[in-house]
Amino acid sequence: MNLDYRDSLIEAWLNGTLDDAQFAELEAELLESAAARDAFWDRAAFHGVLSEAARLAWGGETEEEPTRWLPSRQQKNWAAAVLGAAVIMAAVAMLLLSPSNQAHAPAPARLAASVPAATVPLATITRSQFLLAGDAAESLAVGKAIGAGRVLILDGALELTLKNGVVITLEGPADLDLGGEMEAFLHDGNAVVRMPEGTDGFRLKTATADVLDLGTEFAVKASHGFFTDVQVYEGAVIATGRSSGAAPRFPKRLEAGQSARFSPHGPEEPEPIPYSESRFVRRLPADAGIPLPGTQHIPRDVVEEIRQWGRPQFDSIAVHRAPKTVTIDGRLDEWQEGPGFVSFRDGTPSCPEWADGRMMYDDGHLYIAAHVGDPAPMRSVVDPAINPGDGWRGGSVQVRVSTDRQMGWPADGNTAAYFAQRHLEPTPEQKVAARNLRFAHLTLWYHAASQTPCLTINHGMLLDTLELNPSGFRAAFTRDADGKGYVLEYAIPWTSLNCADDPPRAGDMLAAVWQVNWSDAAGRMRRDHMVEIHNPHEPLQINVWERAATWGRAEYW
Amino acid sequence: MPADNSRSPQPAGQPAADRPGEATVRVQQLFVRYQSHLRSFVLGLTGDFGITDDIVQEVFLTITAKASDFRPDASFRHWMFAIARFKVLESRRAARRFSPRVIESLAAALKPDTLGEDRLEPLLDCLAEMPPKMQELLRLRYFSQHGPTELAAMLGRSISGVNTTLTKARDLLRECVQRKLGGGPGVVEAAS
Repeated sequence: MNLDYRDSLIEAWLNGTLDDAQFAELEAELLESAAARDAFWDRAAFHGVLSEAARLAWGGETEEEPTRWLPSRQQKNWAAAVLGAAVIMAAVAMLLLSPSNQAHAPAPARLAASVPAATVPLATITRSQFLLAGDAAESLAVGKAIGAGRVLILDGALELTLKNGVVITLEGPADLDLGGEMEAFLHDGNAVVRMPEGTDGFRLKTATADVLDLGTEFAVKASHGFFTDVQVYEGAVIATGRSSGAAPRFPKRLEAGQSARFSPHGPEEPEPIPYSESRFVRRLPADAGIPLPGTQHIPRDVVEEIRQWGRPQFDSIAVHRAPKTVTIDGRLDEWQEGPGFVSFRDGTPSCPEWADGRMMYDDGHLYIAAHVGDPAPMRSVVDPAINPGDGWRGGSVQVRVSTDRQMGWPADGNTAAYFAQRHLEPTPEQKVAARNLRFAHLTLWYHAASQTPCLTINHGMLLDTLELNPSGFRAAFTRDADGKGYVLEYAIPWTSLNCADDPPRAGDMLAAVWQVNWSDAAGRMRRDHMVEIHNPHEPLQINVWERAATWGRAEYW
Repeated sequence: MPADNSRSPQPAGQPAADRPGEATVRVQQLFVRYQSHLRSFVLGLTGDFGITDDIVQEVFLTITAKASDFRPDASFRHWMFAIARFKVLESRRAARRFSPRVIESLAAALKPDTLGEDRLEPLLDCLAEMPPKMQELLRLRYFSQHGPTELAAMLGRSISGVNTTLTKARDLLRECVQRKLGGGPGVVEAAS
């Protein structure tokens, strides 16, 4: 075969334009001739390197292609993601989009001769569990290579292995900006960084601290710019807090077994906090987690939608007058006359995750009871003495209520994040509404190690204060005989809900919403959740904790 | 078959997985290091960017699942490429794909370092020196991953015209890279 013709066949193969006859000719030549095979790899390898170079050269551009052009693969993926996502989350996702999914454009004049840092493939997603990606879930699939830029996850966890061997385990909700092989910025969430043996120097920054690794495994929790918790599992780190004032702060060395909180408004020295092995997720198992029984027939995007936002079936719950005596014993004897709601996580009665939720009241208390179907009941390792704000993660029930009769239903109040994510400036009235202390966010869980029922209450919509096990509350849990569920029963004094002087009474229509959280078998990570009692006039794609208008009706009988 | 500075640092004869999960971490780190080589290998055999991405991802999942099978004293790239070869053979998605005999012959013919990344830096320089219209065509083909048929429709040209220009662009880049690696001036001398 003529060499020029042979090479033209190889080039046409690489271009994808061989016809049947030419393809047969090329196959025959490749089988017959060692020189042809060498020539093939010579050109094919260059084709591969050119593909890599193109990603590096143009990967960071964001201009639009002319509309007459057909959508590229990346654009098609992004378009599908946008169409599949809900309106609000799409807006958030667009803000936080990873570079690999952005539209790219012709920019010959801006073609960089050197490798733009933002586009170099830096890491591979090596594991994930219960993952709910902030962008299209496909874009964070295990095995996916990612470059520098934002990684946003809404729930679950993923593990990133960087090219230099550094492993980052990110637990959602979290927002990480991967800057390079040796640095990242954690905007929010939990991250554990594990260095390869014999290496050091990785820097993890947050809004309130800067952590430099000295050859170690360490963890960082970044909380919306309020504070940063640092915990060292092995080795040591140098951590430096950021001050809200002008004065810089001195670095602090933390050794294995130590934990500290850095707050810009706090004292100069970081505040020691208790060390807890289970505070962070250090390793993800290699298995893919518990499947979703009964949902295999549902398209993936629908499953993801349910996982993210739930599938509420009820828009109201009756809050019955309690009998004269309510014994808090983890049994539902006194509740027979007061049905609430029964709902299955995926809407199918065969689903092992379900909840029967009830509410009652009297002059002194709000009563909450639930029978929860849970394959891993009452296993939470979240220690209320160490991380009370994480009580929801290890299996829990959360009930958010308004006791403000003047406001009635629907309720009015949003978190600061609600406005920030939508680029809105709250009005003075909205700021006041957010601080309404008649909103209460209750988290109810059972700490397995101490065999203790727990309760935390956030008041208002800013979620900036947390009350643990308030005075006067009573609670009991019982495990189902078959080990597939549990019952919880709580009596919460109105004093704890800031309304003892004017508690809800018969005829009131107030706001309430339920979330039931199911954990992994270890009782550490949230595996799934369900939302019930939802305002049907509000979009489903809003987190109920950030907007009280999404809450359904609590009708006091 | 390419080899071979991809052996695990663990001494020969030691069990692959001395602690649970250690072998998995080791092969995943090696995968990350050699991922671009793998991609070039698969792209050559499939000729399709989308199928290549899928297969690379499948290879990752396979090496993760089979991490304990990998002998630390063996060549990681040899092992990974063998898995990739099977994945290419299994692939049924391509409109046209090489016969198993051709794939085996080509895989056996691949020489060490053919897929090395030493050409990447000079190639980026050469890309920057290309005439704008060729840059644009290369961007559409290799970054946006449009096929020649799409490109022809987009640019109002014939498919053969697009093919010819792409081939010419690659030839110019290859010459430029060779000059740069050989110490020459490395300027692309062509009109668009």
